[in-house]
Order: sequence, then structure tokens, then C-alpha cells
Amino acid sequence: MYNKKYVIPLILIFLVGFFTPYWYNAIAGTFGYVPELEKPAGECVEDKDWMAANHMLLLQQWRTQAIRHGAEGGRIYHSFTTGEEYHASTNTCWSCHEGKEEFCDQCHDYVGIHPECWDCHYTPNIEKPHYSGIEELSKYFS
Amino acid sequence: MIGVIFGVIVPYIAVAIFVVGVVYRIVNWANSPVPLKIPTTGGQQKSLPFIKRTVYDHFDSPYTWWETAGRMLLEIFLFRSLLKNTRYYLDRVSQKDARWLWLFGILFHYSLLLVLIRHSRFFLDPVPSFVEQLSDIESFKGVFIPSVYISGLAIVVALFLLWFRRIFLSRERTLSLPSDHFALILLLAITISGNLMRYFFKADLFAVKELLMSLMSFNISHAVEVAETIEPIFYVHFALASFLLAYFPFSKLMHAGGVLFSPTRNMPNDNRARRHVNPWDPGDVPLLAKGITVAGRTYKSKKLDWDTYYEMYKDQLQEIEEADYKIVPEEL
Repeated sequence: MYNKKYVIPLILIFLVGFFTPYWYNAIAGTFGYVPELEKPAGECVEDKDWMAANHMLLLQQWRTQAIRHGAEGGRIYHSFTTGEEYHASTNTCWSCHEGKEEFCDQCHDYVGIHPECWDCHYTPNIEKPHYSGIEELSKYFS
Repeated sequence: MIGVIFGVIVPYIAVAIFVVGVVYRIVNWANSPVPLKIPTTGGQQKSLPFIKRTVYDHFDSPYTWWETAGRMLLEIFLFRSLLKNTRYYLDRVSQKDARWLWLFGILFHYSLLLVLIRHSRFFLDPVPSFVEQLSDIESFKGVFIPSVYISGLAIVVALFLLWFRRIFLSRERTLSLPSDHFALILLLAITISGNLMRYFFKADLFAVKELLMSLMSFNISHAVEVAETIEPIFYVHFALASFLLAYFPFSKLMHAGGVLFSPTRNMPNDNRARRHVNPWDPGDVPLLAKGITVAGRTYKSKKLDWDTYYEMYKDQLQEIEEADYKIVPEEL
């Protein structure tokens, strides 16, 4: 083999680069890690596996329905799975799922996605402003 | 069943073929001797001190190791040689700018780089923050829901442009081989199926990462379990990508490694300063048996004398003689 001093490092760089997930996950200590979700209390509006893949489309449809046709019954959602009626709102989700960090973030962090839904919308994990009395006001208006 | 075949068996085989194949090709190239010094040049070579060289000459006709490495890096990252793809017309006595290949090529390759970096989210845990930031920047996060990744669309456009170049331009069509079209069609199929999966037929990405993580840790029973639950559109994308991996080492796509081994690119243009020894030359043969004597001084020549040459290639030469050819020494 000619030019060994260049070729052998090249092969090593290729192998180290291609097998990045192995040493990266080994250093991070997450080799083969899969997060587990707790099963929430109620039944979901649609089939669980369908929701895992398509919940973003459903929420998007709910949003459009609420904005465009909210006054004429657009917020009533008929489930394709169970046939029951639901109120088309994220609050329906929060009635079973306990919080964003225990539910949404588990999968979203796992695949590295950060949807901007919760920049505005309500989640149970939100820090609610609390009004403790006239003393707090005087802090700002002294 | 489809999940087991295309989600577990095929990717293992494909990755094995890819790794072994790429290493095999690299070792094969490294074992091939380069008999002659053949760098391609496009500038003034290093010569007498009063002949000036510009910056471009240093990179187009490299003399030192650093200049050669610089030219190689610029070739890899900027595709400078494709910028010489101008076209001459005899009838017009003119030169027409036809550097589409450079534009389409650089669009495709950098889109592919971004796409590959984004795909690392399915292999790395936790996902590196720069991967997330890069995705946010290129999707102009918050403009569209779901985020539209520019590189994902640009790669499809670039591949179509590269393919149309081969279909609609007569000269390029003439010199295109089936393997050129096949590689482009395969990449188009992969990118289009990936975009379809992202925007129209959703797949459960959590299950996809679960599958890949268990494949990587050889947790095969869990991988089989997960593979059965994933949507079919994912397997269109995943199987095609596996085929690409397996096809890669033995195709023209191997130019990724081949560029480093092309003798016209990786040698400095120092023919006149340093002697290039042909690695074929056997070490034990008295190559320099007779020198050439000029004005009392003997200059050693690389040329073999006839007797040594005849001894070395006796079998072949006699075979030629048997075919009624006359073998005579070259007259100097």
C-alpha cells in the first residue's frame, strides 16, 4: 500500500465519522435509550398509533376550524375512532395528559423537535402569575 | 413482515456492504501504483525567480505540499474544477459560459450535507444543540407549520436540474451512461419519498428513532417489535436509503473518496525539481547499469540496457516472437 501515512488516517476518519452515533451515545450514556411514557387516565380522541404520527395535523385542523368556523360549531370534533364528540381544544388534551414536560417533551426532545405551540398556548406546566395583595403592587409603584 | 425485512434485515446488510465496500475501495486505490507524475495544471508553474506567480497560480499549479493540500480542499469544498466547464464553439469563435454543472452540483452537495446533519437527530441522543439550531435557521422557524426545510426542497430541485441537464442537453445526453441516470433517479426517489413523509403522509418519528436506537444496540427483538408498527411510507424511504448505502461503494458516487486518490489532483507540479520514481520499478534489477558518458562525465540514466530488459520480460517477448513479430533493440 502506497502513502500509508495518509491512507490509514483517512480510513480511521471514515470509520470514526460513520460510527459517530456509537461513541457519541456511549459518551452521553444513552446507548439504546428509549424514553417511556406513562399511560394517561382517559381514552384519546383518536387511535393511539395514529395520534403518534398525525397529532400535529389534527391540532392544525382544530386551529383552523376554531378560527374560521368557531361560531358555527367548528369546535365540535367527531372522532373517527370512537364516533364521540369532543371539544376541539388543547384543553381537551390537558384533561387527560398531566403536563407538557411529562408528555409532549418526552418524544419531542428525543427526536430533537421544538414546536412553537407552547410559546403562546396554555400548558399545565405554565407558571401562573399570582397576586398576593396590595403589598406586591406597592413594590412596583413606590 | 415488511417491517422485519426492510426495517431490520436490509439495513444491517446495507451498512455492512457500505463500510466494507468503502474500506475495500480505499485500500484498492491505495494499492495502485502511480507510474507517472500527472498533475493537471491551470497556471504558471514554479520556475525561475523572475517569473512571477499570482495567488491563482499557486492553487492551479501547486508546487509545495501545502499548495497541493489547499487545492484539494478548495476542490472538495468549492468544486473549482467544475468552474472550468466552459464551452467553445467553432462556428462562433466564442466561448459560452456553461457553468450550470457547478451551480447545480454545489446546490445538491451542500443541501445533502444539511439534510444529513438534520438526519443525525435520529441517531444521536441527546440531539446536539447545533443540529436543532441549524434546523431552526434553515426552516425560518415559525413561518410555516409544519416547518419547511429549505435544504429538503433544494436537494430535489438540484437533482432535477442535474438530471434535466443530462436529458435535454445533446452532448451530455450522449455521454451519459445508465449508471449516471440511475444514481440521480435513486437519489430523487429517496428525497421525494422523504419530503412526502415529512409533509403529507406522516410517520411516527418517535418509533423511527426507537427502531434505529435498538438496531444500533443490536436489540433485535425490540427492533422487530417496533418495526411492525411503523407506517409503510417510512419503509419506502428507508429501504431506498439502504439500497443507496449498498450501491454507494461500487458506483460513481464513490467519487467522495476517489477525489482524494485522483493522481491529477493530489500530486504537486514539481516535475522539474524532484524525480518521481515509478513504484513499478523492481528494486533488485540493475536499472542504472550503464550511464551515458558525455564529455568525460557519466550521467546515470533510468533507461534499461537491452540485455537486462530482455531478461526481465523474456516470457512476454518470446511469446510475441512466436506470433511472427520481430523483436529488435531500440536504436538510439
